[in-house]
Amino acid sequence: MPSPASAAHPLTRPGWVAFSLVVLAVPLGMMLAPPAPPPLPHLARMPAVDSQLLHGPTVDVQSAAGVVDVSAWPCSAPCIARTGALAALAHGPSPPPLVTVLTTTPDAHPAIDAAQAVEGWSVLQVEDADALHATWFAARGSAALPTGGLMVVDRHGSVRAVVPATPEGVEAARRAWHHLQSADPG
Amino acid sequence: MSRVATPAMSPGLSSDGATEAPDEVVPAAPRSLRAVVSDLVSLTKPRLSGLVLFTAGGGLWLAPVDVDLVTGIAAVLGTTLVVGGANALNCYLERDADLLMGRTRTRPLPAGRLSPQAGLAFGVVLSLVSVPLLTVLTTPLAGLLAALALLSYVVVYTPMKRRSSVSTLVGAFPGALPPLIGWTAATGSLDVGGLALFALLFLWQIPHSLAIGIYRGPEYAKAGLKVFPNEHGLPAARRQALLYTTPLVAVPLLLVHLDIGSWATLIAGATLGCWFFALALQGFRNQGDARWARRFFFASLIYLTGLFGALGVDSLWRALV
Repeated sequence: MPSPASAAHPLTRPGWVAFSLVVLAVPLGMMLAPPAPPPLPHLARMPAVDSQLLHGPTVDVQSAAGVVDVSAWPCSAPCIARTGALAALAHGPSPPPLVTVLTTTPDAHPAIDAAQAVEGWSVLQVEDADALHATWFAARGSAALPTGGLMVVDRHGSVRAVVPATPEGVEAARRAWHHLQSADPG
Repeated sequence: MSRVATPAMSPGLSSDGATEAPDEVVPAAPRSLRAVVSDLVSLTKPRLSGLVLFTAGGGLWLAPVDVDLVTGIAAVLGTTLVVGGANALNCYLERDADLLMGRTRTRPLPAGRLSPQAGLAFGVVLSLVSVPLLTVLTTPLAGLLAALALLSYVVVYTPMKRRSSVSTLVGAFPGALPPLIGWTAATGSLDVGGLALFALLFLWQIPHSLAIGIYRGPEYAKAGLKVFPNEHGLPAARRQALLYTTPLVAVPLLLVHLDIGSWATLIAGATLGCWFFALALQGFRNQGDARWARRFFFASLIYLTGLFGALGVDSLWRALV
């Protein structure tokens, strides 16, 4: 039997080196990995109002998931900016589902042409604009919801973020949608 | 006594290192599951692990945050497994030295009741389960500290025992980490409170280990393990024991200053500290013999359990009142 004092040091053996690296890997990996972004808040519920999918069936506005623009007023400069932001999202990498909710007549909105040219962009025409206004403003009233931007809506009809119709807003909307998908892909 | 003939035990070595014939050689028979499990558990050194868990639980309990049930259970279970894994790997690496000491030669590996491969596999599995468990279910920092404790104990301290008595200081690092693991499992950060508990355990371990080194010095020398009293003599060991015991008298003041304990901790801690210090002084009067060292060793256990017990009761009292 070899003398105990002459035993080789464990770290001279590859197996022990590998063991040491494996033991350290998990905690070091978790400490060095970028922290997961915090969950997005629930800002408001989308209004439960019937709408007509352009050239399609009747759907509930609450079922709209993705980046949503509610044009609850006649289309003007802010409306055109939001449509432009949706178009930028549609032509960017891995676009989220896009939804334009109209309360004006379909043929009066610039999103119609854009949506028809892009796959994954839905246009909903609300049949009862007053009901949409009422439920929408009621939902906003209890949640201090920012207005005038694009909404990121999850698959359960909950508004999780509102972003401005700017290049930064477009990127923020894309990140927010993909964050929602990683947290709740269902 | 009948025993099973194994390569590790044939030929056997008596306590003085001389070759002796086995008392009686019988064919290897299948062992019951209970006996195997009992041997695997003994590889984890349950008594030593119990003390470690006590201090780890103390760190978890004393951390100034509310700990949910899952985190608490994961912290205790994870620390139990990592300590068990480290001890099993220590048993594997020291199986040859254990065979040379009367106290340890009946352990499962030197006695041949378990194969070295089984001991190694058991230790590796416990280690590879415990660190991720702590990391994922408590905090990554607690997992990292557990990994550092495990590796510094197994691949630094254990082999260093054969080379230098400085290993006592090195071994005090993993030995002092359990309360900090408990603390960080709750808080996720290195706070001054957790570091104070680490410092307390670090200081405490030196006189504790020196006492063992004094009364078991001849055994360690036979096994080729270096301890301070054997390398530097008993007078130096007594001085070192006194040196590290002295600050322990003041530790309760620090714990109260950091709001980890209150007046109850101060009274209990100061009493225990003064008593422990007085025993360290007695070593000079008794010439630091083995009998004193054994008493001093048991006193160190009473000091630590008493202080952590006082902290726990104090903390509970303050939470209720």
